[in-house]
Amino acid sequence: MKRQPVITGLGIVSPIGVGVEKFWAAALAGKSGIRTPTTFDSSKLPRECRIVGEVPEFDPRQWMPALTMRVTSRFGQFVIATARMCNCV
Amino acid sequence: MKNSRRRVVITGLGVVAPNGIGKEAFWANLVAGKSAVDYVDAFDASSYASKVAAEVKEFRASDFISSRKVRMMARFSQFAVVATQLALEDARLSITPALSGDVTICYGTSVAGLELAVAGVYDFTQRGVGVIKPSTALDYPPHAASSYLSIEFGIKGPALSVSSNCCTGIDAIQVASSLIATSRAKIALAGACDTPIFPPIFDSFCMLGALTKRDDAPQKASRPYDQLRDGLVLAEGGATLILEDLEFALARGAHIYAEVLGYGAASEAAGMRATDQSGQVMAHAICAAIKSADLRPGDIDYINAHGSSLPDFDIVDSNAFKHALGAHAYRVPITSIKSMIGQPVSAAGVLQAAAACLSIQHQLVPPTINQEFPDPQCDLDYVPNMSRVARVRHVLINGHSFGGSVTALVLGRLET
Repeated sequence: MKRQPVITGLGIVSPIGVGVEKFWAAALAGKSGIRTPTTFDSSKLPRECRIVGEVPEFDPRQWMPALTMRVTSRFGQFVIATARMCNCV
Repeated sequence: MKNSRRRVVITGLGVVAPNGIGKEAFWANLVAGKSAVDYVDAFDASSYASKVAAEVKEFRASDFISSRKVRMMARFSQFAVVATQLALEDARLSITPALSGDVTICYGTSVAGLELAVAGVYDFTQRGVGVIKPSTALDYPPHAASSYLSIEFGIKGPALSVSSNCCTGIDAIQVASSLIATSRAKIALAGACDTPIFPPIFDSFCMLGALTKRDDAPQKASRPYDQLRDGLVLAEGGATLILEDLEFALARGAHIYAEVLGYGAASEAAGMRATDQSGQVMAHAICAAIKSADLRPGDIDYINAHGSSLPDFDIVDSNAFKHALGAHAYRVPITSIKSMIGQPVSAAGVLQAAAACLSIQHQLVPPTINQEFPDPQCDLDYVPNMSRVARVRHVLINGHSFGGSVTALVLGRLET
């Protein structure tokens, strides 16, 4: 018997918003998430390379204990944050 | 709609291992109980906490791939292409244009092409913006190997990559099998490769305390289940298995090594460097694998085990086999090939599966070498030091990752 999988939770960390509501509102508003990098000094990059889809407002402290935050890389923090958002929906 | 699952069989083995390139050398050295562990050759490791490794020393990618491509490819992608070519030759299978859409790729790695990323970081730090090798972004990610396989062999079906540390190889076989079982593919290249023997990664495993500090006799450094084990021997290697829909394989008259019968997996959820010492989580995965194979614990007649030579991991193995198999655990021969080829991270599971296929073919089980001082906590039959003739119908293979993923696979001799 084949089971029917359904989607019941969403967690989003994106350049146009952290959290489902912000992400969706920005997407509907046609807001761009493309900007000059803020997480590193890009002044030495050629001008045409100084554009990224960066997540500007991600605060790991909001999603995990300080100890976890210190030992995880940024992508690991994104994973934990999105998973937590799914729990909250 | 009729919901009948297709049966999946293994028809080709391609091996790039520290103890041999090609299944013949790999198998001959396994049954001879010969260790491939030696002092690190790739760089001067004299100042590192661990000084030994199992490297694939005779590997010349340009024997198989154009040297222009070899210069771009990370070593793990080279292993993947060579292992796959050997596997296709072993299966006597050529991927014709008519067949190309029915072939899927399920491949895995953990360390991937990190040496290219590290070289890029070095160039960037030393010389600044605008000097990094452009192909770095294409060639270091884990999926590069799967992409090269589709390009080199003209494969047009889905190409997937799996990365679950030391469970990767087994998990890749499972993903490939499920695609064939559900009629999404007729043929799959299932495999994994890892090439972690370069200074920063080797050092990070040293700093973690995962590697053996024994440096007197390299061949004795990897000693799964032995009381004197003090850590794993890092290895490199890779293997590709050709998986086919049973009917397709029979129709083309393929040699069939084994059938993929069952799979189970679970997570210990204990910590990045913690284990469930009771072995119950691992036992859960093993029981799920046996159940999904429609077998009972007593039907397992051989285990090709994770056995990494890590003090805590080997106890988990032993406890898990006892939980899952009960008294039968004491009657089943158990081999850790890592005693001879070290721990090739993601590639471990596929190399275990390749060895299991050869055990089924030859009805012979390779030994766990360096069994000198039995650990009372590991008191099962690990086939100490000498290979043995055995009836091998149903083989259990297990894997156990840092971070707590555990996985188990059951292969069986084809019964029709």
